[in-house]
Amino acid sequence: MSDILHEVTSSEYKYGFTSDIEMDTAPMGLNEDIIRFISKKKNEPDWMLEFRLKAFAKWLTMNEPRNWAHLKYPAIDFQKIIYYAAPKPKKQLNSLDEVDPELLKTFEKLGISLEEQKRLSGVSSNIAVDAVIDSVSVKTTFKETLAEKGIIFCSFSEAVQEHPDLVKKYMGSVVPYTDNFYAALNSAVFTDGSFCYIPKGVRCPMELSTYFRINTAGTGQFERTLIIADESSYASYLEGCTAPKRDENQLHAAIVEIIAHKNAEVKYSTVQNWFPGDKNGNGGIFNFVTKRGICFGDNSKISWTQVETGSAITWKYPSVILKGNNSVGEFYSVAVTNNYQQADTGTKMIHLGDNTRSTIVSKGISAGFSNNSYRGLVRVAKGAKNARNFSQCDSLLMGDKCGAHTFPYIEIKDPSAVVEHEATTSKIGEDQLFYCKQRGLDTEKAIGLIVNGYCKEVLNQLPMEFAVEAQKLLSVSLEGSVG
Amino acid sequence: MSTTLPLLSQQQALSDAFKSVSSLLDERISLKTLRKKAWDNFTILGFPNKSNEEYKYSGTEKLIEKIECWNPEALTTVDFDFDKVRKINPNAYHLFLINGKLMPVVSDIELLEKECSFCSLSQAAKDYPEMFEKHLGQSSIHFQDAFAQINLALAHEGLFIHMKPKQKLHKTIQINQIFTTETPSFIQTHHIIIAEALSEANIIETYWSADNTIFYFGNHLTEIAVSEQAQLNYYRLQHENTSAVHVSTIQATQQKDSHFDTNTISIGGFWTRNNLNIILEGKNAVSHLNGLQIMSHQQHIDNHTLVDHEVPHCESNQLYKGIFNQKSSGVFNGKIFVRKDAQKTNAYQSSKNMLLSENATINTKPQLEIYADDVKCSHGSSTGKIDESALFYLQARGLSTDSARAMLMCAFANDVIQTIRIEPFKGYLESLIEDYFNL
Repeated sequence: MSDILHEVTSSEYKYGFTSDIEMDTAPMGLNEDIIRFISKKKNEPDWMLEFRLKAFAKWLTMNEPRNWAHLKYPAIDFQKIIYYAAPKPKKQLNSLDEVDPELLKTFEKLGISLEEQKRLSGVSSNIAVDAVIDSVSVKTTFKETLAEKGIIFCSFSEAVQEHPDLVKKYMGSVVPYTDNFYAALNSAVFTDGSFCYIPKGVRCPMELSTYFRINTAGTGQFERTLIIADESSYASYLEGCTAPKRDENQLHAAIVEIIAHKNAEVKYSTVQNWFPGDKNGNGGIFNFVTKRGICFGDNSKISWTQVETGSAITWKYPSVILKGNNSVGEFYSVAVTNNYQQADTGTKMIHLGDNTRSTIVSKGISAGFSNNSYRGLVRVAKGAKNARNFSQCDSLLMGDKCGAHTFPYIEIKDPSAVVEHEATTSKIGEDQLFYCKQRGLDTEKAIGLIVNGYCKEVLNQLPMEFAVEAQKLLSVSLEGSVG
Repeated sequence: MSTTLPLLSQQQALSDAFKSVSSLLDERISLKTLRKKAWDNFTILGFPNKSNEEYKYSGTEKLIEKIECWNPEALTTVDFDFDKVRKINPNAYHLFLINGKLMPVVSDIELLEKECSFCSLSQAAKDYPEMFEKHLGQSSIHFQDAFAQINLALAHEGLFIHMKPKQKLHKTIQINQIFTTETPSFIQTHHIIIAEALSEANIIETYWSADNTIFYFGNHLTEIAVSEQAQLNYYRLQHENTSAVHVSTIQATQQKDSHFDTNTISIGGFWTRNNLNIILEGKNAVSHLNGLQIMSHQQHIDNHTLVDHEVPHCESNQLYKGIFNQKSSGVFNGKIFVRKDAQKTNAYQSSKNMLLSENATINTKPQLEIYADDVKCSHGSSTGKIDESALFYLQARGLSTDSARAMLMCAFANDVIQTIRIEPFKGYLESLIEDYFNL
């Protein structure tokens, strides 16, 4: 058994490659000039620069939050980070032929062949991909197809240029730059990201997808995603992340904002597979992300699904503010930590409207020397009638050197609320393993089967295209790590 | 560390109190050092405010501000209906304490002395110096809580109870604490309870105010050591007036094969904070922690529990229930900590709450921190209202809405009451709750 454990814990990060794409980078460090540099590089209007500078001023007054999360990591030197790195040459691309061949190779390695996507255009099960490498959106596929429906799906900087009214109206409305330390930092220095607007009554015909990748050494990736679902619209959004293997830690601080208007529904799925550091805990991504959606109108719905297997440090709480009456918030999560990874992740469900409902299903799996924490908040405000919440947090421990923790905060200020929370911690049952082995499965396969069953509730929520990848990821991260 | 230091004028009064107490106490050097260390810990910590994670929902600044006297004079008598309290459990050794000081005239001292060694805390320093030194503050000095530390530094009233090996008490010991004061005072009591190997005892502690309106700030510390194969049941009823502040810390350690049951019933008090820390140091130790809170008006209660599973094969079980009416608010923060080597741990925790009014609030945080893989740990927390269908069922059988509601409420509370193993006390609590809901 320990052989298998060794084999798995020593398995290499398979997405660890660097692409030799020529980069256009800003000098290291952070000050007002850097922010002006970024803004100028992106040819931004004045209001955008103002927003950045305000956020920067606020950031300077804030302290890095180090006390409350169940995480231990060395101090981050924010002056040793390159805040802008764009692939060169940066020109408007119209066809794939114009794309840097190195970049295309990168995507092929990632398993998201843009070429393939392009060739198959017209087939309804396609995914529109917006790829972000080191903070700059490289290519948005299927833009034209989407445009026919009136859907705007483009890079954030493009949206700033072409749809300034929408950006001005919604940017920072869910995650204000004053929200927290990393949100302020992102608001000051974000370089790109994705922007999506679904007009009234439109059901987005395909999965929208972004792929994030950190490429340049010593860069932080600060992308910003803004999704607006207008009345009675629907969108399903996928996000995938990888980063090359590097010894030093790289910072990732993103913001995702979702606005769902009346009767709208947004489904946001993430497979996060940043470099988790090597088996001795060196390197890896520090992932500090603020994700929040607001169910603004009545009967709206926001659903977060995440599969977190990467990053050395994960600090992430995708949340839903249930403002509209009868609105629904969902959070499905599988978080896997191995070796020396640390995750402090969970959700916040803020019930404000009447008859709001939320569901939280969180599955944590810890192996090696890792620590995996669920931290969540369910708040029912005074006067939020008939709120309903169900939370379930299960943890699976593999080996006796890791930790699994649960920190659920439940704050109820209305008597009509019904809130339930359950959490369990256990290991894979010997009897389950025995049963599988008796039927001819080897230990590794048996564990894969049991873990996949354990996560099924969450994996089922993923769109087909992602579910397959997520299952593979799970088996790569975990196979056989039960001792 | 985010803290509030006491107000300037109080700071002086507090350090004066510490100086006068430490000069008065006739204790060994090691204990003086311990008290000094606790004092230093306290001055670093300061009284907690809401930015302290452990006191997130229960800031103390406003309550501390009201205190005028930090080291109140000891009293010997009080106008109080002792018989009312004796009736709770007539067949028990009753000990009455006024502001923590034992009242020999009304207490059953002689009867109890025949069964076990007990005395006031200050007497224990002289009569049982070895044991006293061995147990005072040994584990609570590590509990980083301002109230526990200031109690260790300053408290010198309270009881010392020692059960010899294999001793089985014939009757329950009932400690009845009565509080009274003229100026708003900070009243501290400190008990040490030692159950030696194979001993068995039942202890009830009740808290009362001599007056219905006076404000005082009570800060109590009980240190409990349960040795191998010993069994201790320790039940508490907090029935003080609705102006009183009650902070209590129970620091219990359990050895191999021991059994410790505790039940915390809170009905009174304006602002209550209970810290219950149980450290399972010996294998096969079993611990049951139950609690019931029934709050109304502006009452606030904060229950913090910590079960620290240090060794394998232990079991802990928690059930906390709360009913909150009017503008009352409650907090439950239960933490199960399973250390790296504590395999085969069985830990269960459940917190259930009912809100009866628009203005009532409940904040819960059931917390698990687990570092061992072969364990079964779970917690559940639920908050809700009265089950409409159950209400309808009872009404359909002819009960009025009010009595149907009262009956459901009593049934909800009864889960906790039923875990009490002392018959008359259980019966008393049942009727107390029925009266509370006018059933």
